[in-house]
Amino acid sequence: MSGTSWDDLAAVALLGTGRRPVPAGPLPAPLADAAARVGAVRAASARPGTEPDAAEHLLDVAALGAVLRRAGMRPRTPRPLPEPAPTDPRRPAGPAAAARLLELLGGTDRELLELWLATAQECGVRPPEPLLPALLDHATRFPTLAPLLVAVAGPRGRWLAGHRRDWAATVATALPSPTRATAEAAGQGPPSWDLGPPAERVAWLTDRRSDDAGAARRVLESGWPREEPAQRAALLAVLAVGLDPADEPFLEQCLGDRRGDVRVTAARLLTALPGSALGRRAAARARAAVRVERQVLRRRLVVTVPAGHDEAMFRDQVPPPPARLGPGGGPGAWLLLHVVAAAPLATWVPALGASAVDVTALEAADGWQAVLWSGWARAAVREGDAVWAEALLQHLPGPGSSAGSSPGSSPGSGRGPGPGSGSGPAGGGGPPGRPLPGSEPLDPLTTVGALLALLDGDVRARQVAGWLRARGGPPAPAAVLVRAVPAPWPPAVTAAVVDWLADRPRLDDPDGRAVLELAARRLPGDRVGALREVAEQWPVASTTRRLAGAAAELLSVRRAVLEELQ
Amino acid sequence: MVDRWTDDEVLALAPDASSAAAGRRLATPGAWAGAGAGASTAVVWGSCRGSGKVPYRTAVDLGGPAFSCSCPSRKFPCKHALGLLFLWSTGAVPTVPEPPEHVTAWLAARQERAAGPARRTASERAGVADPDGARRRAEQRERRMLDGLVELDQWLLDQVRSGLAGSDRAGYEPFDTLAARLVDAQVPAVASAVRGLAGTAVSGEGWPARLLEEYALLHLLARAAPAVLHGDDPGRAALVRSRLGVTVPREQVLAGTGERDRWRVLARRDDVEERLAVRRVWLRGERSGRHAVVLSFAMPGEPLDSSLVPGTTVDAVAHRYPGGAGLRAVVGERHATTRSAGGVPGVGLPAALDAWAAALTGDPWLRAWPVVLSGVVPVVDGDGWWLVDAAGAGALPLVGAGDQGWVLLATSGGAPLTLLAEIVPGGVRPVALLPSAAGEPTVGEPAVGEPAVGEHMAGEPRAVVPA
Repeated sequence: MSGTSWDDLAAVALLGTGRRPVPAGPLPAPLADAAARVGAVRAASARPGTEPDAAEHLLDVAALGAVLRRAGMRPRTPRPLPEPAPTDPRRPAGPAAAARLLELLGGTDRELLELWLATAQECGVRPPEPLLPALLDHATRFPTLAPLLVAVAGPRGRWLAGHRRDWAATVATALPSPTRATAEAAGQGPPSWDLGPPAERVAWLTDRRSDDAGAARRVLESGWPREEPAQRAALLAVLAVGLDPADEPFLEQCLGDRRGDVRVTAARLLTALPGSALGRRAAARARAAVRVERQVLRRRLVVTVPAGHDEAMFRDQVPPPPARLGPGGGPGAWLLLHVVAAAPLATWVPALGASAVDVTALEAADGWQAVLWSGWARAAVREGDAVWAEALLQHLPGPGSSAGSSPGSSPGSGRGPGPGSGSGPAGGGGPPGRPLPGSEPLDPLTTVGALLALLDGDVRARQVAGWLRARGGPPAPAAVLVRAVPAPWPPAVTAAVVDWLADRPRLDDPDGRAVLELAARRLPGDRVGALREVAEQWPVASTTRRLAGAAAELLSVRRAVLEELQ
Repeated sequence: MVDRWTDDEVLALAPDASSAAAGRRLATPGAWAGAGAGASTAVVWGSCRGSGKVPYRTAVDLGGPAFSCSCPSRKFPCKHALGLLFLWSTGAVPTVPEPPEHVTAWLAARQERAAGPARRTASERAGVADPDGARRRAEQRERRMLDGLVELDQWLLDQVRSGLAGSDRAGYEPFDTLAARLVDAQVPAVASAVRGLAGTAVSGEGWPARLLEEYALLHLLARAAPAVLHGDDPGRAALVRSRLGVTVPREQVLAGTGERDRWRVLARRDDVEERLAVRRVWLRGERSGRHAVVLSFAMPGEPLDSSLVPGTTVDAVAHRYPGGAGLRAVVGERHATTRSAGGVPGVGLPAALDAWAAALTGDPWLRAWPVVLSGVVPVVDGDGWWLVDAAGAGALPLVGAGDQGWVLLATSGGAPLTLLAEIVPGGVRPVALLPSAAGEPTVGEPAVGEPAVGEHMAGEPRAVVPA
């Protein structure tokens, strides 16, 4: 009879000894001896004539076998060891920084976590190895933060990710798309134009375009009919690099594309291309609408509102006025705004004045100032023109109008009614309505912010600081101005913000809260005391004190994060 | 004057990370008014300005430690107590001869309450002027226990006679009913084990073999108890009593023989078992190389004993609970606590399994045996997680690895690790990473190629059957 195994015993137990006999085959040696001894003891103590109890016997053998099995555990055949992880030349994070990272990964403040990661990257610090799984999990859950997390995780992090499918996918998408050069250097094939994912294709096309602009455009053109509509705009935008007149025919063709984002992109590129037909058409329309009139003592701008929207305008991406407009202006104002905005900025300078400053300083008849300003502002943002941005900010539309209000766009800073009476825009005055579909997503508040973003750092700092200190307050909400200044803040802005916070009669309104939050995140670390002082001038149980105290706390934590990583 | 605690010791008291962080934020002199530390009494106190109108009054009795704070938080210790302790640990709290009125009153009230139970036990002891009564009660308990075990054994035999089939679909009720009767029979540990059987029944593939194993070990206990409880081996008797769930009072253990050693605190883990918070602290004697595990319990929400901090070494006397492998211990007289230095020497897989087998000879019901493994590499592949001996001595499955496996893999980077682990039936369960010792001993002789006993029941297994 073959030997009895553990599985045999389990099988009998499953069915029950009442139904199946306990296997009688020999048990392995030491178990058999012990079982025999126990059996003898049972037999000796049992009543004479009774049968040995099968269930008892099974449990006796199972008990002995169970302990034998556990004690007899030996190592199994060895498994192959993994390839060792590559060395990481960065220095390890100190215990305080490591504890801080653990806290931030479990917390909700994403910006602080980004600060830790960015600072670690700058200082060449590597995170503690036991936290690498948490970093990779975080990168998988929050793909927008993934590139930074994967970069900080470093070579050991990538090695670890290779062992797990979801992490490997996260790392693959988070790493920068391989350029042709580095990919070939790494021995991989070039990223495929024909088969690769969208991000790779854009990267490939960008590379090609830098090498040979014309060839890249021809590749794009030839494959154009087969492109997925959703990807066309992104691919077309690549042509912004090395834009030249040879691209014009293709771009004109794209003006007629079915997709709105493709048309808008084509129009943008054509407007930026000097000497393009679209640029000339837009300039002509614009000059027809606005001209300068010399009077005895001064010059002023006279507006001829475009008669109506036509097919040519539509093709050139001037949107038609929507059926319902807010009280900021009627269809005429709408068209004027978009015609002015569509024209290249170069149109205006010799035509209306000697320089951007000259042009923006001119008054407009019939109160069209605000609409013209908005149009020029949009053009400046589109072209990224710092000179125009500075000029426009110096000459904000007059005191009777909100900064950059335009017909049908979102509420301005609420400083006053729109442009006044006369043959100006119909229905002027009153708070403008909600933004309507078809208008660009640039609303007046962010226009000021967007213009500020174009300025050179010093100029911007001076402008913002000056406005914050202005008697009567800044022309736009302070938060908009302050947000436009990226960290690190120059001393002028720091001082102006702290003084603004200290002097303001209330801080718990949306503007005050927003500035507090920005101050907490962008003030230099040594201003913690100043923020605490701001908090302390408010009564103890007030909301403002709590908000300001929290801002001071956040700033001090940011300082701690930076110090711990040094 | 009490020695100031270190930052780590204060941190060990925090119930969670957010309390620790909040406590750190309060650890500035500006946040506290009237803070002081007792010159002759082991107490720290202060007033913290919170968001309310009235500042919170906080005090910490360093002996317990025990915490008192007027804030509405339900956590123990609250962030104010933690902040005060952090501040004190940096030396920023001045020493004051006399604590204020409310602090001394609180301390006095605590002493009253502490003295209460002591007074009771003294009277209990005095009340055992009736040794016959005590003996009768003990005999009655023992009768109940043995009767309960007989019932258990009958139940087990019935199960095996009619067959285990269907146990995976029977639900909790049959087991819970039996467990309730075992509780009445005053064998709580057996009742607990029976409740656990329900989980084994639904544990998926291979459950009949596992359930049979558990039944068999309960059968062993039920049959061993009557013979051993009054046998001539007091060690075996103590082991069986502990497996039945007869508690040994802490004072009795402390009164027993002690082992003085420099006990290195290797790891600490908190679990919740049957609605009670359980804290395990693993110790290893530097001189003897032997392990000890200190258990402490608390109702949910109450603080657990934080006097043993991983990363420190305590020169103290440990007293082991009687019976079996004697793994559970309490720490008695302490002499000095220092920061642990250097690596922890460990062994390879074969030596660890030898130690496990030896421990099982003393206690066949053992479910886990702590060991420090060194020179092992964590590996994950198609068959799951493993710890592989770097010197080629084989591999063991990592049991219950989960997220811990990834932390081990990240830390190892393919290189060998030193870690505290428990050998359990079926493999090894990691507990904590440890610093490697320089000049590690070579691993034991390779034992590759021999099948584990349980799988084939042929070949030459080790003889570990008790005589």
